[in-house]
Amino acid sequence: MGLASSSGGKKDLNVELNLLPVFDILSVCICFLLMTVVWVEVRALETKQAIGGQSLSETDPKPSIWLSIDEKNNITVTFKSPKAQETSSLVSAKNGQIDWSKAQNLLLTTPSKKIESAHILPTKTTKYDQVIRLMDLLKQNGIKDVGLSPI
Amino acid sequence: MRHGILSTQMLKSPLLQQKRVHGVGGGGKSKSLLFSMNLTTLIDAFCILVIFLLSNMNGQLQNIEVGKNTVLPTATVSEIMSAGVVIRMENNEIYIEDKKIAVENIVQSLIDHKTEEKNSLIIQADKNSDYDKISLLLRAGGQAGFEKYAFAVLPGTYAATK
Repeated sequence: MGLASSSGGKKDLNVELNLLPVFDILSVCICFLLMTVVWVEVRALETKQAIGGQSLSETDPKPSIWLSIDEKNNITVTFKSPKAQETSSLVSAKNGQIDWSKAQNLLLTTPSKKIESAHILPTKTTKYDQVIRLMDLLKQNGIKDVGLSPI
Repeated sequence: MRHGILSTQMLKSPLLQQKRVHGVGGGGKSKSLLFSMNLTTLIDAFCILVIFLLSNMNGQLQNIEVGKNTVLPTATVSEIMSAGVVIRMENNEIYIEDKKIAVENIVQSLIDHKTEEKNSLIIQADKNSDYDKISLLLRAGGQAGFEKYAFAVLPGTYAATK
C-alpha cells in the first residue's frame, strides 16, 4: 500500500511514495499546534522579598538605591553607600505624572556596577503600572535585586 | 539526449501515467475526468507551517489567563513565567487559582496552594490598580511564606502607554 510501482511488463525501479498518510499526519499536527498556540505571551517581572527578621547588624551593608514616590508623583532617589555619604535627588512630577524622561536619565546614568539592590517605596495611591515601570527601569540599569516595600 | 534521464523520468512519471485527462491532442480517445493531484508541494507547505508553529511554541511553564477587564502593565525587561501560585485581582475581587477568595482567607488559601514546585507567587492585576491593593497581596504572600514574586506583564515598550 505504501509503495505503488508503475505498471508495465518489465520491473521498474521507479517507485512512487504514497504521500496521503504523511498529508494526514501533517494536517493533524497543524490543527493541534494552531489550537494550542499562545498568541499573547504573558511574561514575568520577578522580585524577591525577605521574610522573617534578620537584624540590621547581621546584614552586610551594600550600596543601594531607594526610590520613594510621594502622593504627588515626585520621586526622591537616594543613593546609600556604607562608605560614602547619602546623596538624594528629586525628580519632580510633570503635569501630575511621574516625569519618566528625567527619572530614566537619572537612573540610566547611575553607575550601577557597585549597586546591587534597589528598593521602591510607593504610596497608597501610586498606580501599579508606575511601580512596574520603575522596576523595569532599575532592571534595565542592571540592578537585579529590586525590592518593593509593602504599605 | 534522447535517452537522457530527464526524458525517461518524464515518460514514466506517475502523474502522467495516472492522468486521465488528455489535454494535449487526445488522439480521438475517450476523455476521462479522473486525475491525480500532485501533493508534494502541499506537503512542503505543510512542513513549513508545522516547523514555524513548533518554533513559535514557547517554553512557558505557566500559562495564565488574563481577565477580560484586566490590562496588564508593560515591561521591556521580563522573564519567562515559571510555575507558581496565581493570585489575581479583578474588579476589587481576589482570585487564587481562578477561585474567588475573601480577603480574610487569602493567607490560608495561599498556604494550602503552596507546594515545592509552586513556590513563587504570580501577581496579576490591572495596570491602573492602586498600590495599596497590590500591597495587600504582597503582605499576604509574605505571611504565607512566599519569597519569590512574579508580576505578570506584557513584553513591549512604553511608547504606546505614555
